[in-house]
Amino acid sequence: MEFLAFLVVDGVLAGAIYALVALAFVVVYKASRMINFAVGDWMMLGSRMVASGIHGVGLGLGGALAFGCVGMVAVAMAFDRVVLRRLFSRSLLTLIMVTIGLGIFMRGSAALVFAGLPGGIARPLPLDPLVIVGVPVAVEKLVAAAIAGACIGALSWFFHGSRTGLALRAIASDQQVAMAVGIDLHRHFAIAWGLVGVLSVLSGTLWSFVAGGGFGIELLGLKVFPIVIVGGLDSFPGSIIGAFIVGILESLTAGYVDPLVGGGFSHVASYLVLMAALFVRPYGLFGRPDIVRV
Amino acid sequence: MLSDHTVSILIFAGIDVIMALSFYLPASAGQLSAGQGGFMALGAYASAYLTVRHGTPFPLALAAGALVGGLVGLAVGFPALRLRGLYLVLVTFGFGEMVRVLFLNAPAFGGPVGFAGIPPATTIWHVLGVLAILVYFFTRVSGSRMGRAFAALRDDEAAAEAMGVNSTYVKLVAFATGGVIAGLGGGLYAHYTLFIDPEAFGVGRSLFVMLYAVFGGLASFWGAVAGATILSVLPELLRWVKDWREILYGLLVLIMMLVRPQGLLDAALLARLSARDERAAARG
Repeated sequence: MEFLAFLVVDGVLAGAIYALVALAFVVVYKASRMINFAVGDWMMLGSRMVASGIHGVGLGLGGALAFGCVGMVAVAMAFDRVVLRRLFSRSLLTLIMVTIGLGIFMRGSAALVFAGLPGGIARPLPLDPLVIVGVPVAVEKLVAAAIAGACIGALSWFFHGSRTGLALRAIASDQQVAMAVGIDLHRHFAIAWGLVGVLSVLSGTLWSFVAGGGFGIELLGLKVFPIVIVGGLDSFPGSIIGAFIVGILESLTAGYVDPLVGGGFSHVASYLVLMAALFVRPYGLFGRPDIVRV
Repeated sequence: MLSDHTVSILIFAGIDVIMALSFYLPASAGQLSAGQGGFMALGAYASAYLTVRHGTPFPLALAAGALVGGLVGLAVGFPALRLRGLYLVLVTFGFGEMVRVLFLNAPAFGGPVGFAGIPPATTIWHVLGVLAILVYFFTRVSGSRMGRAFAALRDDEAAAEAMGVNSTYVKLVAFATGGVIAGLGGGLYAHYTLFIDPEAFGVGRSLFVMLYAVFGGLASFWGAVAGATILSVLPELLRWVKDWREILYGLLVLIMMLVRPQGLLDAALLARLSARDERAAARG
């Protein structure tokens, strides 16, 4: 029982970080119907910027986070200005190719710009696990999950409580009608991409805390896909719930199934759920099916 | 005649062309697949397993790899029938990732260590032979009943169905044939590199395959041929820029999408080229 509780808690904590990544993905999808295939590269660049703020510029963690956010928002704005604005209402494939091209570009420039700078971000916390009601909880994961939870809260307030959030939701539901009531699409696309910049700094940094070093962040980007397919591409609550489902599932299968089949099943599990979800609800648990008018 | 290095560049470029064609075929029916790397992995592992463990002759193993790719293509086609556009892209992407993770965790296929000891079999002639067959196949398909059904589905599914195109059947054929071609590419790849691991067929592979075809242009299969050839030979030519290579590659893709989003060979350019051919033929 204690083992089960430990696994569930661990899964929830991982799920909170996944949720941040998934939100970075869904924000863009909702605003501009773009699939960001380079979401892992964004995260990599975000955490590298924070790391270079610490090791290169000599800032503290807070300052480095601000440095990273400013840097990534600048990248997002440049991408929006130089590339996306010229591609308004182009085909799906063109937009996908653009995110892939940007991903390659980011990887290449990160290797060049941050050459020689360490990519790790030291966590400012003790390492001893906390024991809550008999269940050991890793402190760094707890803190990361708490920060992720706070971000999700702030983001949902932003979307449901602020005027800009309302405009973004209007664009998501119907671009033409949104334009007709006087919403500036370009400005709000830029805001959406700016949010992606901030979210990738935060999720990249939190992941570095948990996983230690800047390793495997690109793989974190890949986790987005089962999450958003299970939860539904165009739904914020869906992607958050999907993230927790995937997090808990990974943790449970890693604890119970991996010892039996020799490891690695936990990585497959989320994709098996994905397949099952596809047969039952191809648009995800909370997704809105495309209604095709003939 | 040609140095070994040149031959290896040509073989890899040829395999890239085969993979780009495997993306082009379902795409010509409007079915965008971001998981061609998964089919390639299936073809590579299946054929390599046969030659290594059972001593199957190379052509037979290659055919078996293609068959596995085709059957799985059929299986992926079924859930994909219910999906369109972006969801289809995401789901096929998920499929590719699933195949990678499965092989990563399959001890019979070496898992993360990879599958080694594959006998060398692929030569430049095999690659060119497969390419010649594919080019013949694609020129025949484009004017056939099936080729027209592909184009009709891509342009307007509802209208195609109204004209009597069985969209379920046509989509499944498109997916399965794409799987067969990718399986062939995988088999050729495995018997040239002689070592395969799941990472070789991961997300990067699937996305690059897509990139090749889109870069060349989806108006004709020649676009996929041109795009894959240029983009896979280019990094070799760019060797001297060293660290700047990835940056330039990324920039090239971005600029291409800004300046010429329809790809290198668009309908207008193809019409001009074929008109010139006809004039040359008329002059005799």
